[in-house]
Amino acid sequence: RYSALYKHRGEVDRAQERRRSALLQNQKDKRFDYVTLARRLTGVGTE
Amino acid sequence: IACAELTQGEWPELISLLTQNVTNPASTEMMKEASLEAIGYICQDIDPDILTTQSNEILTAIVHGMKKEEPSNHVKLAATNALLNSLEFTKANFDIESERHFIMQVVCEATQSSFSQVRVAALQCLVKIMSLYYQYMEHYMGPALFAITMEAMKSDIDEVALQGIEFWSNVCDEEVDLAIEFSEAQEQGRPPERTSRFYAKGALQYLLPILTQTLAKQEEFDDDDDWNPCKAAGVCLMLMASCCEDDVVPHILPFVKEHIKSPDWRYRDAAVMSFGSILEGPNPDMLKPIVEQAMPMLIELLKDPSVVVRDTAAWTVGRLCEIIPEAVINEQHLTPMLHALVEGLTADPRVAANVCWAFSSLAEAAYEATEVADDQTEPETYCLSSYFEPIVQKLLETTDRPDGSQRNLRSAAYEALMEMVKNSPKDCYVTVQKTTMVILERLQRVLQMESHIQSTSDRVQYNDLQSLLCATLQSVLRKVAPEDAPQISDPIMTALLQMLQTSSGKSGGVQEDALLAVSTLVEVLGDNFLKYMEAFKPFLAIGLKNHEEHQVCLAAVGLTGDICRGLSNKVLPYCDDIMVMLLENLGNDQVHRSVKPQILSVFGDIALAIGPEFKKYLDVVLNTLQQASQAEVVRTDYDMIDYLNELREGCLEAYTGIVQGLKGDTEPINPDVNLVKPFVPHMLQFISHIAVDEDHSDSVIAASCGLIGDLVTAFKADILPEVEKEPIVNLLTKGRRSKTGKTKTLATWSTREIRKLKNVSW
Repeated sequence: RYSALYKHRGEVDRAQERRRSALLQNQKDKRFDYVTLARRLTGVGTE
Repeated sequence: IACAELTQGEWPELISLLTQNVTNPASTEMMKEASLEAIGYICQDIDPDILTTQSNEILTAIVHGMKKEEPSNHVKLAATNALLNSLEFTKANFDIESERHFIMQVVCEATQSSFSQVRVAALQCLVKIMSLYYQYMEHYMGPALFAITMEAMKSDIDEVALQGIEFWSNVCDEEVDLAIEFSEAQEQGRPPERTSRFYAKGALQYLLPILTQTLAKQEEFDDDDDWNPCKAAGVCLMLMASCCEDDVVPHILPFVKEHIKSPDWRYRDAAVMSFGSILEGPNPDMLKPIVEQAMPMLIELLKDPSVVVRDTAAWTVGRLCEIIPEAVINEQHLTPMLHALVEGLTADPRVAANVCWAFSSLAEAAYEATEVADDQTEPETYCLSSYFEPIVQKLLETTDRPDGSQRNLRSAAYEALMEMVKNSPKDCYVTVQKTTMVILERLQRVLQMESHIQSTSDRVQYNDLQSLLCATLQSVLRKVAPEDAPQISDPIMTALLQMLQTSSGKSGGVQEDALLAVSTLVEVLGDNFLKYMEAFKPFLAIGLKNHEEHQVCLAAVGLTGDICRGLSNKVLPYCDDIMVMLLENLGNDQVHRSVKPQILSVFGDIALAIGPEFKKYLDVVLNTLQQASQAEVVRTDYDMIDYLNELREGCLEAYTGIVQGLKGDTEPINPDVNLVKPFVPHMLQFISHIAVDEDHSDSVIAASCGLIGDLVTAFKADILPEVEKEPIVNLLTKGRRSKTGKTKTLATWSTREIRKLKNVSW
């Protein structure tokens, strides 16, 4: 139960996991920041 | 059999039969023991709700087997184990004072048994009772539990000592949770439901001396995987520090000072370990001067004659780089520490792996500590700049160490390298460029080794290395300037294609990492990636069709979205094939459920990329979305609630992409968007359904608010009455009040669009 807490065993595995979830997040952010939000804020279709 | 039948309401007489076997004076010792074991196994495996009505009967039998008068230790042990397994459904008995007193009395007596197995089992019961019934423990803590567990911690029998330590680790866990609950309640201006009795704080002065002494009970060749009191004490101390914060420090420092120079390596190690264990919890401002004072000592200990001490010293340095980096990143300490760390990379694998971790944390902290000009995304320089090249060089050498497979050293060194590159300022770019070439060269070299692999262990190492190189390639590529990318993309893509070709069907991990590396390349190259599409297409298809390894499939789906964003409408010639595969995956039960929400989002990416050309997929996609948006899950399972939110977010992202894609990004709005109109009532109904669902996540609110705005800008006054209905108005209000910037932005934007429209209609 606590072996992951003891010293930092598993740190590397967690790093890999973190990297992968960061990549997925990056895909989401790009969709949001660069594509949909940009279109929204440049106001296509707005009066 | 009981677990199968009782669940179905069958074999109703079983529990009575078993409990009578235990209480019947005529039963033999073996009959009692076997019956109690059966009760224990049933309690362990069955859904606790099923036995709640029979908890009295069960408890009576168990307590009968545990009581002092029971002559057989075997019966006592079986009874104590059965109690351990039945604690979850005996809440009703714990709620009644007299019954609780009785159970506690029997358990406490059993902890004094001369038979150590009974003692261990009884202590396990106490550990569990502490977690389950913390609020009832006040009456027993002072007169019994404190003394029992202190005694157990000091025991020479490891199993007994472990349970004693575990009890206090559990107390800390519980009290940390209670502290969180307390601050949440305070924030919301209400009283907390349960309150902490601060047992850990109260026991500190008695507990810590035992824990520090236990830390010294180790042997040089203790197995890394064996859980023993020394390791448990380390964890308990860390939990104590998290729970009692500043109060721990004055109890630990005297021990550290007294033993840090002890001639016995066990005490030197215990001293460093104690110091490292209390770094998280107490206020960093309080710790900083202490850490600074200890720095020269820590550097010296990295060269201690004992490998155990060197390891713990390196771990402590790694931990302080992560938790209090400001104590290292300053004029006085940085240079000597970096020298010691670079030297530490050549030490034993277990020491060097900790040093790598320290570099990862330092790189991140140093980068975060820099100031970036408003018009820049990256700092010009930082405090590690002048050491950057030699550190990277040494890390690259470390990844090549022949003993790199021990203690995760190779992975740790690559991870550190990635963090260094990721967190590098502009003036380190030349080193990043050089590193890119080194990684590429290594990747090519490794691919040539494919034919030399003989054993399974070679294969595992070879796959790990490929994965790590792909990951490192991603981190360097992210730093490459857009104008430099096309110059290196050919050899990189060639290597990745070769990797995908040779890894097909061999290792999902490698395929996944290669696809993720392609994703990064797409991101860096934008539509310059088009020239690789023909060659890459078959591998994308293999990934999308890899239903067995869902991580691979997921990476391929994500990459499809990246390609759409990178290539924009140049992706059109590939869309028919891609759409067929994505739709096939959605309808296929073999495809892991985690992939499906991502596929829906990618529909949005495709629609955004090809705009009006998406018309041909419209019917099938909108019908699919309509179905997906009606999914419901069992609300008792948190994972399924998360999944439902992901699925809904996928639907909303798809709708957004379709509406925005068809509408176009120039004025006037493309009338093609009207093709979606028949589905708008469903979309708004879907959003209203989300709005009233109390389990909705913040990102689902964000995506809903975004879509509302998109629909309003596309269909204007036609849908105004719909978006002014209560659930949608409430959703927008909630979005505007969200703590997440993205959600706030979208909700505010949508509200503004609605308001503009209303002003026009008036």
